Amino acid sequence: METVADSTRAMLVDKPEQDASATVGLDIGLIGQAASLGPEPDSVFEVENLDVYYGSFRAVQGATFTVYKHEITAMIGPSGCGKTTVLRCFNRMNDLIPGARVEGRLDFHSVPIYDPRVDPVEVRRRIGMVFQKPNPFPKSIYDNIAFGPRVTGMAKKKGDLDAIVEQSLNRAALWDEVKDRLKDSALGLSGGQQQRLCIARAVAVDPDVLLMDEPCSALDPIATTRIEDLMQEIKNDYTIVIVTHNMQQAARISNRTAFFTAQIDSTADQRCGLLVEYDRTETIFSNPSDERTENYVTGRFG
Amino acid sequence: MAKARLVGHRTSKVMAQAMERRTADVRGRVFQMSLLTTLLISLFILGVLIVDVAIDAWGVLTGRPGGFLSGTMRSLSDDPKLGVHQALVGTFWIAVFVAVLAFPVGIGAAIWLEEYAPKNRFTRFIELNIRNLAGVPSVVYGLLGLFLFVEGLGGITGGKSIASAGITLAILVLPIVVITAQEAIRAVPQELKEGAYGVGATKWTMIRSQVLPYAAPGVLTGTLLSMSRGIGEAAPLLLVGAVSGRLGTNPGFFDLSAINAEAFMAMPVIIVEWVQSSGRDPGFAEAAAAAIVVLLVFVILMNAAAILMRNHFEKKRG
Repeated sequence: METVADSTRAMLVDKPEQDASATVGLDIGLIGQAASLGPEPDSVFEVENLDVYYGSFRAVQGATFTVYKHEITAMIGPSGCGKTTVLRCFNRMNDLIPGARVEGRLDFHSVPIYDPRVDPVEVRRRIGMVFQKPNPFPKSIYDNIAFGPRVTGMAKKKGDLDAIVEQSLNRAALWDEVKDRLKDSALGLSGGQQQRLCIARAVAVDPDVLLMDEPCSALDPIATTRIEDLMQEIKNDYTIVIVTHNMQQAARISNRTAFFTAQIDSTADQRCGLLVEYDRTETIFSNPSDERTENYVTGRFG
Repeated sequence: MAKARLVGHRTSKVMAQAMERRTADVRGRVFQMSLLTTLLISLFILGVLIVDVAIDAWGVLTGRPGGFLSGTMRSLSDDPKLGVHQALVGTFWIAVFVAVLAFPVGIGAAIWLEEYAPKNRFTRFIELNIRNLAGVPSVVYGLLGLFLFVEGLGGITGGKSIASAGITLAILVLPIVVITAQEAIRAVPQELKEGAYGVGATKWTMIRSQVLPYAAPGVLTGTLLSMSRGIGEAAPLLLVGAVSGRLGTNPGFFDLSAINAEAFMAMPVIIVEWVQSSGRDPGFAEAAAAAIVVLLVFVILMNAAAILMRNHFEKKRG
């Protein structure tokens, strides 16, 4: 635990040596907490009282939950409940939206990733993302996968790059379909293949976490099944957080589920996203403790 | 007709009758025809202009095309050495100046405005002013060029030189280059940018690898069209002092010493000059028409180059 946290901090933070003494206390605190959790696996993200604002509009209020290592965590809820907003906080993709602002604690391997010393580029390199609509670059299949290793300086030699491309495409169960046309444009692939290409592109930089923002919403059922199978196969190597509109999908694939909803913010007369309940997926779907969760998962609301 | 009912009889016969075409869409047809008419009017005017110019130019261009292209400015229209060589050299180098100065500066400014600038009142103010600058009459740029480059920086530009004219026209087209490049950059899909950021690209890598290749065709088309427009401008060149009357020197195309020499000619100016001279010597009208054709061909060649480059970049973009 300590080594993981330390090495992650060294990777993410601009000046690790300055930082070491200041964070010892935090490490110890975290170890104590982890021990008291008993059989729980290691945590990857610790979210506490997370508020997300777009300008003066508060999109998410007070979310608190923990994402565990090598699990699939699903975020479900009706439109406008802030689940995608929270997902995009995990790799600081919300930084790209002017006016977006985060308050509260969001630790990745106990590194507060919104700390000014943390480099968002390094965060995104370790927390990969797969988007709602397949978004391959208008380049060849090979260059799509090689893009990340190239820009992050992972592969110095052509041979290394070839190996990374092959491994990544294998991971995404796409290699056999495309190995003979690596130089062809990625835009010629089918939607399902494009999405698997995007997964391959994400794993090519060897991330720790994969964030998936409704990755199957633009795909047909067969392609969806392939992606779901793929997620099961790779979850031993990555921690996966997925936003989905499809409750069956969340029930099928995830270990834990966070149910969000939108509620009227009485102070500002706006709708604001709220984390209602977070638990093991089977609990959320069979025995939720909150009535709103029960109404949603049984189809009576949303 | 029977009393209106919400649920009527929907037998096949009733439905078939209901869907029969009864009245012609008169308004729609009239609208469509008037649109077609406006297109035909503009094409007709353009056609008349080109045919008229071509007829006037026919004698010169078929009689001695080589001599006209290599000839120089003369005081009489029947001089066998009359031609546009000095003006072509001038326009060619002015175009080079515009390309070398306006394109990098304009595209750079557009990238900054679209990708880096904070969206606040200051940048909105800048953008508004760029749009206003694009509408400033070209004569005003000529005045600017006269004071700034001919007189102020005369030591560097050589005064009334190709360099002064080139810089002036570069500034003239700069706002248009910025605006068209901004539009092309704004059209780059957000998903591509996020995809690049998502695997750990820095902003600069993202711009270089995604934004620029994707925006290149649009940027190219817009900027080269603005250049075509720019090199047809006569008014600012008259102000920065294109020679009227006889020009003593006739530099070659790649004679770089001519760039800041205190005398130059350009295609639009030679056309103005010859049209004015046609009053005392009607033969100059033909020469002016021939010069117009030469300038048109120059611009068409430039646009063709733009289209070829755009197709190249579009193919690369996939």
